[in-house]
Amino acid sequence: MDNNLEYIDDYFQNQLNSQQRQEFETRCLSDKMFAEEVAIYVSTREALRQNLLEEKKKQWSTLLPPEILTDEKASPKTTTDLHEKAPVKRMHLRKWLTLAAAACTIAALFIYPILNGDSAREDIQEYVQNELTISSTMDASRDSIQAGINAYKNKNYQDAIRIFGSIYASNPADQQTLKYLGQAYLKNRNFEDALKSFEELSQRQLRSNAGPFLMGITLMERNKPGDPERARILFQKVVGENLEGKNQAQVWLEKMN
Amino acid sequence: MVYIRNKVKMEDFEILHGLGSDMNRREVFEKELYSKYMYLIKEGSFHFHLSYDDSFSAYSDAVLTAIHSFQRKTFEQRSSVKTYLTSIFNNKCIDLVRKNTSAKGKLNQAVSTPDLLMQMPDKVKSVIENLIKDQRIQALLENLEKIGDKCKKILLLYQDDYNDRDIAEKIGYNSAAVVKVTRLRCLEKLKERMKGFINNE
Repeated sequence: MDNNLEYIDDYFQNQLNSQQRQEFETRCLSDKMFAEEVAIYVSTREALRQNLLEEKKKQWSTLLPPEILTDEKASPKTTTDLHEKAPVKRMHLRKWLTLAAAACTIAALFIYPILNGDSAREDIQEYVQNELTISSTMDASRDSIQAGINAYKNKNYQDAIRIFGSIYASNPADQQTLKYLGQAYLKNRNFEDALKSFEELSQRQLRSNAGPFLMGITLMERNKPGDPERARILFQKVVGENLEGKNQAQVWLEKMN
Repeated sequence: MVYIRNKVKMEDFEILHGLGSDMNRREVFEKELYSKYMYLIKEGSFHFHLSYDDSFSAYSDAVLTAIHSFQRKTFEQRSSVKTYLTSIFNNKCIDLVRKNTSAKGKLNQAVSTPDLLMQMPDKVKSVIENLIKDQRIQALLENLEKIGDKCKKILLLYQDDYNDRDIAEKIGYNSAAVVKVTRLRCLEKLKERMKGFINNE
């Protein structure tokens, strides 16, 4: 039997000690024939994985409920009953003017905060555009995270998400990568994923946690009903608890208030 | 999404414990895990603009990856199972999006990085990755059907993270040592069948 095969198998089964692992890795770099054998082994394991996955998919497909299988949009309902039109009533002019004035006042009360809020929102959009950067790592051994940072800087946010996501999946303790992942999602306008990442970050015990600040920014960017109010509460928390982004949050709160 | 840091829900705990220790009921726990988060399939299809089939593939792949990490105890429970699985699933979806949008018909098109290479340092990983070709993996898949049922079964159980002792018990071999020797012979057999293909590359 090929002794190299057992040796390669032992490496990937973590049966070698750290010195043996280093020797193995050095040999991959210096011995082309050996590297080729390792590649064949990895290819074989990859083929096995794909075959295994197909078998698992067959087993697991039986678990899927019908509602996940269907992607039908609700069929438009046709109205067969026609409602009778209500008769139009005439309105006196004075009454009409009073109602119009009241409607304008109410509209103004709603619009004014929105306009002011829009100014905060514009600021935040500019912040996301220009200030949400990531600095290069000083640690040259972290090649993979540097690759993610480079992708982020080059605006290849999909690649940055893939790289940061992969690093984070193998080390969920790494809150720095979690923050980068959230930022990449935000830049790529994957607001739900950004919120999940920053919410996760907010749960960590850190001296100065950027999670709430970044969540607030994401909510303002997403701007669904209720989001600006939630963002305001988060910015208030950032200021109140002296968290990262406090000064900027203070400025935005003044505009939002 | 609200959860208490470092506290795993009871159902997740049962699944994790079962996958890590109860080999005989492993399929039960796998199905529990799969069912619990399969709403992600529809989310992935919508969010990443994938077909349902692609999203289903990505989710199944993510669950398999997660199961293996639970069994190897590389999942440290610093995040919830949901967060962990969702993160893997998103990456699988992104890989599929990239694969679907890349130019079709390229020769020697690189495959997405095999999970096995993740345990290697980056420099070594790149060297090995450059030697892996999609056509070779396709040829291996075809040859897998030709090495005999017993060999195929042993290799697939091994790939599914059953150790040699578990495989011996499942298949009826005398010992883990016998399984190891047989397993390596099966790999050798597969490699022999690939010689002609590799020489013609």
